Amino acid sequence: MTAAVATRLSALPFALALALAPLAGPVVAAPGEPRDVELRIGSKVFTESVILGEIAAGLARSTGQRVRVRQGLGGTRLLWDGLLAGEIDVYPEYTGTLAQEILPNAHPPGAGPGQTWLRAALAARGIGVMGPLGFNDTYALGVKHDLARRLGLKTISDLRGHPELRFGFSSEFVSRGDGWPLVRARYGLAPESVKGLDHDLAYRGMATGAIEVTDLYATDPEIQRNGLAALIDDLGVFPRYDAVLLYRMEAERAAPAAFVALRRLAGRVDEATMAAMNAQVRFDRRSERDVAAAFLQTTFGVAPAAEGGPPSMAGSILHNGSRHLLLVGLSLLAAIIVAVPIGVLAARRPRLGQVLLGVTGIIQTIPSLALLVFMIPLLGIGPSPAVAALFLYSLLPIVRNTHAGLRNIAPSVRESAAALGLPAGAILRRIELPLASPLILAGIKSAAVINVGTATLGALVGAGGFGEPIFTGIRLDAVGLIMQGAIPSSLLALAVQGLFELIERGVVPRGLRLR
Amino acid sequence: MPTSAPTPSSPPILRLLGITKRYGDTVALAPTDLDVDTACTTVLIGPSGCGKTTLLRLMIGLIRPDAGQVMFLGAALTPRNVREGRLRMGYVVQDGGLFPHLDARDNVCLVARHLGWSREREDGRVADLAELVRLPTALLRRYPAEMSGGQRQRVGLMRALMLDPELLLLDEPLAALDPLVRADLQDDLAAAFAKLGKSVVLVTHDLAEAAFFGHTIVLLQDGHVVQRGSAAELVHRPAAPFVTRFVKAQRHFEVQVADGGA
Repeated sequence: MTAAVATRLSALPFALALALAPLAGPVVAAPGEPRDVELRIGSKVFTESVILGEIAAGLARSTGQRVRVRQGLGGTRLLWDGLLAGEIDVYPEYTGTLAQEILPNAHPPGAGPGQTWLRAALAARGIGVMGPLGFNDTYALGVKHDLARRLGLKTISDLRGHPELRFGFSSEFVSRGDGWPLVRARYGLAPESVKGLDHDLAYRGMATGAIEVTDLYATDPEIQRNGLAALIDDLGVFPRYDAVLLYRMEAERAAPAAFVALRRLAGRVDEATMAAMNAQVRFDRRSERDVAAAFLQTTFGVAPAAEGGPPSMAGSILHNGSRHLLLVGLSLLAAIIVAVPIGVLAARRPRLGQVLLGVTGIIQTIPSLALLVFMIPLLGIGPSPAVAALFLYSLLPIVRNTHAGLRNIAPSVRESAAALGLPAGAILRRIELPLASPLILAGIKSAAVINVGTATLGALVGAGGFGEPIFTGIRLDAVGLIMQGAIPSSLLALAVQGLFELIERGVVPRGLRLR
Repeated sequence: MPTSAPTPSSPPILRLLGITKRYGDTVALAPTDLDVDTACTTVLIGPSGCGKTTLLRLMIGLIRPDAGQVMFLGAALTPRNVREGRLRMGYVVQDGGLFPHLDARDNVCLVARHLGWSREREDGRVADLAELVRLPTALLRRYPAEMSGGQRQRVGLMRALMLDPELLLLDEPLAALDPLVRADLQDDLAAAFAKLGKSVVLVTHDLAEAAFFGHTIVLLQDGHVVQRGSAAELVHRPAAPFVTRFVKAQRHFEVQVADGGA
């Protein structure tokens, strides 16, 4: 595995590959050696997915399996690609997402709504499905508990007799083809008043009674919080979003015992349980891991694995900081090694230079998240794709400034240099690069400062760094946690700026600092 | 003032044979033949755009002719050997062309250091050159930005002379200086040239300066050599009406000649 990663990295400078090899993650055993395999469990960047990932991890650990959790990864595409590439072994997914986003063209014409075709399509890719876990995280219509009791509302069909209720839906639900228009038509609802409004405002409207029926996600923690009841979709109008665990079949062969434990999860998590766990994280500020451990204890009698408590704030800042520095440092180093020669080439060959500057410019316009996702199939999950993406982003400022620094040399100086009779290499080294050094250094500085900021996105591909507390904080709506990432990364950017001013004093020749 | 040319005993140090150069539609040099005599000072003169700087840059291979050959020390200058040739030429541009990131001494010693000269040899040569161009040694540790225009030109000349080149090429070396500094430097340069007995090509647009330095004056117009000769020949035996017009335009020069100079 380590070797494979190193080969994939061969596009980057060799030094980078060497430096990254130890970071490339756990060594995955070949199918022949089932011992000491680490099971890698991923989850998406929202609370429910992280909780499910932790539950799966806890169950696997209870069999003595070594487990590594990569929680809060960027999104569906990233996890799916990671699973296919063998970067992760298991992650929670929803059948609706599988059918509509991941395998939109795999549904055979005439196949029923069941999951047989889906399982077959996945198996063809070496991917298995465990579950359903027991809840369907689809749209639902909600009313207040007391109203439901008073009017005897249990299903959406029951609403037919109450056109006087005030309906208020999130803007998305009102306009989506599989949202309100479909529900209204299929259930034959004809309410007197329907409003479209923001999702959060809708909950507030429910609380004040301004609206009485709204759309919700079945496991939304707000349901419990606001004393709402979800009405049953008795006609089955909404697509099903059954939670399942996706896994690599190869991983099951390597760790069969852990998968026996994981299968016990099927049917054990219903909507109410999931919504309650979401609420505990969202409103009671408990960690996903705590909530998962409590669930395992009550449901399976699994004792939480002995873990050192959460790391101290200073410890975690130090840990994230060193990882962050590593991401920035490695990518910047590689970028300098590659970009300065490209800049020199661009200055020497004006036409090629336009092409080179154009290409690096285009790379810069790729949204960072998209670039990170592109890297997953090539470099897997972890620091490598983040370093590669940061490397690519660093190219433009350094190439552009090297090019400009060389082109800006006064013609009389350039001519005097050529007239000396020195070889081109010596002219470059002794005259041109020193003269261009202030601009080159400025380019490196801006690349470094931008990198410190962009590296926070690395957390989305499991690279760690200050992005980790930031994204966890966003997920949990915990400002303190966000600050634990945001403040040090801003300070780091300032420190990098200061460091470069010092370096400038050492590198830029004194003669250029006069005037 | 070197008025009498030493009789050229050896063959010309540099010859231009049928050189032409165009930039797009503009003819910078019509087919041109020109000899640069050994141990003499040849001055290229003419109005702006006449091709005098182009001619100088062709001599050191900074630009390549469209046709014709540059013969230096008996061999044709080619892209292959041009670097070697440049080590045997010194080149000074109008503003000195000093490298701003190096102090005076490092500017002067750049190439010698690359060639692996010993520190002692370097020191000796720098001291000799500083004396020759009358540069106070205290200035050797100054950066170009800390020196006056005249001082920069003296350093530029030291840099050009460091390897003791056979041929010295100067492109309007004094044009940017104020009159007093300029007169001083003219005297010092003339003295240095006389002492070294070097072959020199100097570009100027000032006829008085040309007469002051030049054994041979080459007057150019629109990429053609109009006349080649001494200052006196240009004044008294003009080869074309343009020569007379050019001489008359330089009013203070007429006065000098009328006073019995040249």
